[in-house]
Amino acid sequence: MTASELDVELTHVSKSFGMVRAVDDVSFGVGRGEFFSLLGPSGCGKTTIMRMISGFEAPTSGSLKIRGQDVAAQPPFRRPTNMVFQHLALFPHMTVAQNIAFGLEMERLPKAEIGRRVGSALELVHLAGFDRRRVSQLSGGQRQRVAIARALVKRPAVLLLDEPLGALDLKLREEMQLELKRIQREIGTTFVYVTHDQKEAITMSDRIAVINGGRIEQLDTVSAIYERPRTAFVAGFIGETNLLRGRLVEAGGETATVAVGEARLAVRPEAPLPRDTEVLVSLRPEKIRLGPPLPETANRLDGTVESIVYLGSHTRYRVQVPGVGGLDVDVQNAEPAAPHEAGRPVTLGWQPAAAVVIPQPSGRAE
Amino acid sequence: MSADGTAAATVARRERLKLAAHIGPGTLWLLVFFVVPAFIVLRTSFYSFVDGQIVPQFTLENYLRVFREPLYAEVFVKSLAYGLIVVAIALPVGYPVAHFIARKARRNREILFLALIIPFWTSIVVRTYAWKILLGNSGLVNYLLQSAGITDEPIRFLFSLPAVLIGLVHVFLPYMILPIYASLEKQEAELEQAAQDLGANRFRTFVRITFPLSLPGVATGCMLVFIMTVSSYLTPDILGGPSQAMISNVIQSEYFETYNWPFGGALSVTFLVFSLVFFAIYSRLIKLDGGAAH
Repeated sequence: MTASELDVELTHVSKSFGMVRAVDDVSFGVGRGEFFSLLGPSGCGKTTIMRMISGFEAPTSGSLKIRGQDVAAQPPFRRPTNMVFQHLALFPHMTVAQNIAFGLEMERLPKAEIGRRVGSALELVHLAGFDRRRVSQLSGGQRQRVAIARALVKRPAVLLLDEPLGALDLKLREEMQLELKRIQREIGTTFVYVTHDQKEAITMSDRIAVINGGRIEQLDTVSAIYERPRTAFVAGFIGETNLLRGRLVEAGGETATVAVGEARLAVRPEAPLPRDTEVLVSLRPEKIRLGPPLPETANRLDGTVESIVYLGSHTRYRVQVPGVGGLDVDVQNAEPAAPHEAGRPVTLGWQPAAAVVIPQPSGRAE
Repeated sequence: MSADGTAAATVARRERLKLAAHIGPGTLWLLVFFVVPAFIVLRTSFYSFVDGQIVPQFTLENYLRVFREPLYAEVFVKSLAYGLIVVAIALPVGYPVAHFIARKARRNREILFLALIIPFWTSIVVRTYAWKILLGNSGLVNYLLQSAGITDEPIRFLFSLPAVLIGLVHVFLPYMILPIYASLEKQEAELEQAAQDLGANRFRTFVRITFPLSLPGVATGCMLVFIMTVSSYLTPDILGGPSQAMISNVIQSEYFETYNWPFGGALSVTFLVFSLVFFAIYSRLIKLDGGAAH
């Protein structure tokens, strides 16, 4: 990706509020037409990053470019970005059409063009015929669509979305996620989406930046974030995982051996690691096989079923392995009855490539 | 079935009792201290006044006199005009104050608010007399003007229209500021940001978003200040004297100087009816305005 194709580019951006460093030396670029998510727990700095892009906060240091132009000196109303606010911020004293037309009126466009563009924006969000409705007469989902149309009608270089789906119930939220994705594909605008909901980020994004404590923990494609987390935080925050603390006892070649308690696990580190490295082994519950091990399965642990939780599509087993600890294991419910019972001994198995090895910098607290 | 019916009846009775407990005291208060006195005034206004005596004999003479003698129409019009002028001054003075407290003041908000509230703890009489001292011939204002050499002779402020207007604006300004502050305060901060995000500078954000959304507060403030100005008694009495008499002063003099309660009553009732008609029109216009805004 060359620099000219980047719609948003942050270089060593930091932001402090008094003594608090909310954003700490963050750099990333968002490509044209990309659906990019800033994902992290509340208070991690993701919203501050977005507010700096939109111009409501100024970086303490670092440079911020939009479409290759440094925007440091531009107030929000001059920036080629538009925002869908967390609480939507629809103007309550205006109709749907007046809300959407507002931004175009600020550009002093001719009335006919405003009317035309408002019309097609309403069509884009499937709200044709709603122009004269008052905001108070709309449902939650319809309000979302108006807020999106109002921002997109300005044809921004970047559309910023600040957790706009938070207030919706689950069903509607999932529907709106797909809608947002459809709209984004249809118009090809760059979306920067802020959320604390990892499922939401996974559903919609091309790439995700996982933010924690004001820093980027990992910036990657959705599948890489899930399959190859680089830090314990990322492994734990995106999806669910078993984290096993251990030490590399055998290195060399493609596979290495990690000692976890009394167990010896075969793993496949992404990069060669020296012996005696302290590591965390991240093992997703669905990657573990429960039951009679297949002959080629490299890792086997014997344990006892502690608890069983039926979750519809799959069943979650908690298995106690002596000398290692408790492990969560998911089994797809291909057949109606759960095949294992609590208190029974079981064997867990997985391939070396199923686990991810996360080296722990020495002295770093968990 | 019958047990159910009894239970339902009990619930209904309990609900009625709850309602009575809620609105009962207020209703009683209004009845004793407002409805009954208003009724007495209304009844007296149809009595005759013969040789300095109130005679319970029905007559329309009092009302005819209100409309026959141009003095009273003049006082009516003057009172209404004062009301409009005071509103016209208090709104542009009060709005920026409300806006400043709601938007700009952060740490000082409590102090500013206190400064706004403290006058309520001080009697209007005291505050109005303070103006009398400030505006008097040997008062602070004249002293400063003379010291600065702007004028040789003291300027006669008291017992003039400006003195009354200054006093009225001073006394009623908080009633303009507080409702406007309340409506600005409850506006979501995101709304102004959204306007800026959509390309509106500060001025256009104010004109298109902030101000229209504060209109309910503006309407309330204007109405409060107008009502209180039009019915004000103390300020025109202390700072204006007889030449600046407003409707309340005229009514007061009928009641307590000539003791013509029937005529005083007729003036009161006529003014009350005018006021009610005025507010019916006002609230109608405001509602229409709200519905047709943009």
